[in-house]
Amino acid sequence: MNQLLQRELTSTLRTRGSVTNPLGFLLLSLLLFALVDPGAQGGQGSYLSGIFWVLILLTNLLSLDAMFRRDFDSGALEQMLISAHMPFVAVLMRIFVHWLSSGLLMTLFVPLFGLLLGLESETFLPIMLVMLVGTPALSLLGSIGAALTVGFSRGGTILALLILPLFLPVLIFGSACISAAVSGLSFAAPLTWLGLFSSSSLLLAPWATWAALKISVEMQ
Amino acid sequence: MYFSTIGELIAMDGHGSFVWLAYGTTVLVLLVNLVATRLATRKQESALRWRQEVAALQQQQANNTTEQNDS
Amino acid sequence: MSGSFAASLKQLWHKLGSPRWFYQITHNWVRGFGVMAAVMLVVGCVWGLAFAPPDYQQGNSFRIMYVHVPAAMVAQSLYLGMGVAGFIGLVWRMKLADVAIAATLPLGITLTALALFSGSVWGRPTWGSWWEWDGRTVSTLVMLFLYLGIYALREAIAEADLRARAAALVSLVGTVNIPVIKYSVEWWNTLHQPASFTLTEKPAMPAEMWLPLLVMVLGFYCFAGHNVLSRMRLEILRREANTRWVAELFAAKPVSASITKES
Repeated sequence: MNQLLQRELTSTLRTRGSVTNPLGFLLLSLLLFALVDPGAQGGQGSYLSGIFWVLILLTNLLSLDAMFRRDFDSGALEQMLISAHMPFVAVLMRIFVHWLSSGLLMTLFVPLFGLLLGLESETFLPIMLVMLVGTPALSLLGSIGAALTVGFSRGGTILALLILPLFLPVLIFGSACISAAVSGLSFAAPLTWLGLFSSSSLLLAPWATWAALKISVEMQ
Repeated sequence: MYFSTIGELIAMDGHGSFVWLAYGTTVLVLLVNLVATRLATRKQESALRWRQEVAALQQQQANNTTEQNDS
Repeated sequence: MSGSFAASLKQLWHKLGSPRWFYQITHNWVRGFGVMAAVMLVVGCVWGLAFAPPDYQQGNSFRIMYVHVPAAMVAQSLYLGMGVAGFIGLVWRMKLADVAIAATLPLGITLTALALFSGSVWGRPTWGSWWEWDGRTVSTLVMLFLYLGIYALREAIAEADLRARAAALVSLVGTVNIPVIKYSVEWWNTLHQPASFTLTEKPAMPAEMWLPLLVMVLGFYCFAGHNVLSRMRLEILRREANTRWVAELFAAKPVSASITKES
């Protein structure tokens, strides 16, 4: 399993752009919002939290398309499907590495985003916690869509259409958490639901992704 | 009946345009589904029938030529 | 006797593997559903429009309920049915499962759109707004997108078997997702708005009001039965066009020489 993890990590790091581009997108769009509407900074908690999560979703969407594409084109995906003797683990490793370079990375940049948007520093840690709990679900559920559409030439729009409904609970619970945190209230309840949602995705999504990969590979 | 005249039925105390709009689109949706299915079915059925007629004709021709060859 | 019941269920299951058997057996069902649908829809509409009493609070606009509620209920049932068909198709590779999904999509999409539209039209005179963000509206809207997603996916894949499996997977995943979305939105609303009037918490309706609703709901279900079965039969004719049983069904005139066709 360690070998698998190492292999996945090195291949992801080799394409630096796939890691930095989505992050740059998130940063830029947040900046745009802050510029256009100074009222979006700090104070109006719920307005900000909604936007924040929507942008996180969209950023994730951008990076998902590349999740399987290179290996699909090179034939390595087919190899993985044939040779893996624990399919759940193989898929999970890929999703984990994707999350490291998307959800986790965004979480680590929260203090920077928070400063740009004029949030109070006490809210940084709660926001990071919420993202830590919520972003795995995005990578997990997104991988299903990515696996299904990897064979399409212009798969991007169908990918969005298929996945955004799945992302909705993360958006709802996530922004509820953040708006509570920003206003200084307890966000334990939505966080629990978010955690529940992420854990269920962890158990169920890899199987669906596996099934989807098998279908896509036959489309070549 | 809760309306004494047809005029009242149509007006529905001012809500008429909403109610009839809703019912009208419902009828439209149901009809379109019904008609589309029926038309497509008829098209497919006549295509199949045509295919069979052609096959039967070809079979007849094949029979005629074998008869000719035998005689 | 559970033994013979289980045996006949098993028999039924096996028969469902045969499109030909399905085509033959549904001939009468389609007609039956069609007649019942026509009768119930006409009776229900007339009853609901003219003979049911107007609502104390909403006046006559509540009559829209008689088309909105059945449309929404059937749209949801059809989506659930697609999820079940998807599951069956993935696990048992039954041919009819994909036929069912393809046949359900058009009606499902149009009825969901109708439910959203009629709900909006109902909302305007009754509660003053064309749209409210609550659990029901959001999950119905999401259901429309899920339906459209399955449709787009089927259009994008050319190979029949792959198309079937992909659509089945998506419909299965979506079916699990809808209750989650509905719950999460309702939960969000309890945080942000005081309990407002929702469709579920109606005061108990008198019989003169819910009887026509029952008739309309049944009528819509019968219509769905008629339409889905008809579309399934059409789809079967398309897919099995090269088989012998279809050839025999549409044979021109009995030809003297024997026809030895490959099925």
